[in-house]
Amino acid sequence: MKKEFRVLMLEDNAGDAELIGRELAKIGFAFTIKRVETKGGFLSALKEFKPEMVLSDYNLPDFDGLSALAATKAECPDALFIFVSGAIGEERAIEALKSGATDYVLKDRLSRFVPAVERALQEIIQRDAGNKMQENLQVGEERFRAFMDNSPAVAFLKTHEGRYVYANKPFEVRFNLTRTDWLGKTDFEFWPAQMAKHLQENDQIVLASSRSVKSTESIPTPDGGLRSWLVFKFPVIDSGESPLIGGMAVDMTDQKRLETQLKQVVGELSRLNGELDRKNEDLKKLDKLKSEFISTVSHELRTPMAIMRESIAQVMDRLCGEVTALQQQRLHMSLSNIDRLRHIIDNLLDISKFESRKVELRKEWVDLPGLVKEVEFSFEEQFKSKCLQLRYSFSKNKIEVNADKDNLIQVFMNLISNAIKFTDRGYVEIFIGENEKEIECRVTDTGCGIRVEDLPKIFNKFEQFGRPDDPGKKGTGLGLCICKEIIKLHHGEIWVESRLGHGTTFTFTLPKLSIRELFEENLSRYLQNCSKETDCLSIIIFEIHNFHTIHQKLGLKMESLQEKFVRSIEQYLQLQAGEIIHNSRFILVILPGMSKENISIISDRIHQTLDDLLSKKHFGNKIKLTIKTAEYPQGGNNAQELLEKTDLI
Amino acid sequence: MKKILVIDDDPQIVDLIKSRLKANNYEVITALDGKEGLEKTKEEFPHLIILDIAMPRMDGYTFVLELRKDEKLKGLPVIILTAKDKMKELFGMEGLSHYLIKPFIAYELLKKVKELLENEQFCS
Repeated sequence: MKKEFRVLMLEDNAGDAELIGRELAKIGFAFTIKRVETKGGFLSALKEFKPEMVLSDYNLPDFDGLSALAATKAECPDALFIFVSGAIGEERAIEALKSGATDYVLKDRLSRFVPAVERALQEIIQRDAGNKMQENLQVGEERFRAFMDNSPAVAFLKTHEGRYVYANKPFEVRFNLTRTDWLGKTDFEFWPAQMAKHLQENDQIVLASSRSVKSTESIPTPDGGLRSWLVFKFPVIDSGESPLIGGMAVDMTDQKRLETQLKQVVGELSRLNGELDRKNEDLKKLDKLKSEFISTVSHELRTPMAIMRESIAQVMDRLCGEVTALQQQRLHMSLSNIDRLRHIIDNLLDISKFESRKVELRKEWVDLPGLVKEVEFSFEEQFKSKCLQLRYSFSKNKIEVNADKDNLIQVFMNLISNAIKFTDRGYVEIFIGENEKEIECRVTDTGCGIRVEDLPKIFNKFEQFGRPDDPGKKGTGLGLCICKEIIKLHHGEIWVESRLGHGTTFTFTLPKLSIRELFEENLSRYLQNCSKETDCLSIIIFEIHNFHTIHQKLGLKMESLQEKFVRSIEQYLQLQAGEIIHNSRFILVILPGMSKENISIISDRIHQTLDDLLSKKHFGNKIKLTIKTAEYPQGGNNAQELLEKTDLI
Repeated sequence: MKKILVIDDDPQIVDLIKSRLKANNYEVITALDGKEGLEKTKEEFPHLIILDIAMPRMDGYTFVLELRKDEKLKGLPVIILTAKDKMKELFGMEGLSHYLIKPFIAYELLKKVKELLENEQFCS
């Protein structure tokens, strides 16, 4: 919006006023004009109208121009004052201008009026702009000061001769200086000479290179200490002839101290780590020594035990002549204790193997009901002699799990022999069932039960409860501990429930792995020992096409066919190393050391062998096999990637 | 009468097995290490060998390897009788030897011997 200038006209002659008004209209500005004729009117207009420009007649009946000028200066000091008058004479004109009038124009020469007013208005505009700038500048400088004085950093400005021309509050506070200490002074006047010299050398570098320089300085504190400052100095080039030197400095003492502390801590940590590594190494050695010791001692004991056992057995079998009944009884006692000793040694060896994690599971598909019936055979005598019943409860006739068969036999043997040992009447029941995720096995007896306080200790090493009198039947205190280790190795769980006087149930679970998980687990085991640079390994996966349809038609025949597949692959490969893992649908063949170049030939041959087998069995056009291969390391870095490569599972 | 060679570096074990086998009507010859055992095998052609593993001069494992190299002897049944259970896998893979761990039980040993000799008879 265009500015409207407020103009106060002091003029008692209406004709002159109109004339002046007309002249004003020629100027390209908007005006609000107020005309007054008397002193009273003028004074009150000054107060209320606040004119920016006064056009005043010089001679008025009750008022003279100079008084009007004086009143204006008093009331509106910024207002411009132009006399528009009849002849006033040179002397008066000069007096008027001296008193502060902006200009004067004679009424008979109004042609001067327009340029005079225009000049005056420009003056107002410029003055306003100037005021604004001044104001802005003031605000800016205040802000700048506040910014610098509140900054945590020390800041300063020096001339090229090294004289301080500016320093912020922190500079004064941190270095304990007042304005008079530094203003116009050099470093030599308030720092020790050597330090001042050093600081000025830095200044010279800044000036010579026209670049900023970073340095770390130790600067004394008022209390005699030293603090460490990170200092940036830089050339400041303004309108002056020589560049100035600007500087900012941050107190780094605390960070430095933390850094030193951190370094110490890190050093200490790595020392402790080294110590820990050494101790760990020692422990490993000790552990190995322990395992070796148990192993050596156990083996060394076996031969003398064999000699003792066979000697006694031969006497008992009357190979060395007649034996009395009492002698026979004593010999029997010795023999059963030797057997017990052997049992302890076997268990000790197992435990030491489990504890040193040396056990490698030899997993295969194990039918649990079938396995239990195999185990039953060893206990037949004991069930008969104690008149105990053996009951089975299987949710299905065939329940398969991929596990180490010998290990599972050991678990069942231990649990069943415990059950018989602590049961005098009633039965021992073996339950095997499965759900989607796991297989659950239970061995329940109607024996004496276990006291509540003993239950938590039941799986501990060498814990024995309710020892029977016959030494041959005494346990080793290791059986349940071994069971727990075996189940743990199979990623299952084992627990016990018991009621004193009523009986005990041991339950263990074995997770069911999906075929994918099974393949991954086995493949990972092989890949663990492979190094990318020197080793290779290949896998072949066979899948029976349209498995579900075929399986429905063939049922159990399908599984025996699959067994035949596996056997002929085994035969073909004469597997010296590697492994075949399968279920009724998929077969995975792991071939360590087999390179990418050879695998396609091998897999083709196997495919051919299996096709031959199929046509021999007259399945040639009914059953089709899909075959895929993958190679390490080209096809993937881990089991997951390799299996994904085959795209079958 | 079937001839059995017992190879073990412990003379007491050799003695005991010898009397047990003799009592069961076998002819028994003995050797105290693998080298001697190999010589006796070649001289006397036993029907079956009972073999220890850890022995001086030639151990049981090397003995079996040597035996398998000889066309005439490689079919001989061997029962490993040892204190070392970790060799089980190794010999198990050979598929030809049978394995018993000390302290052995006499009737188990006899059962195995009988079984193998009957088989052998069947084969030949």
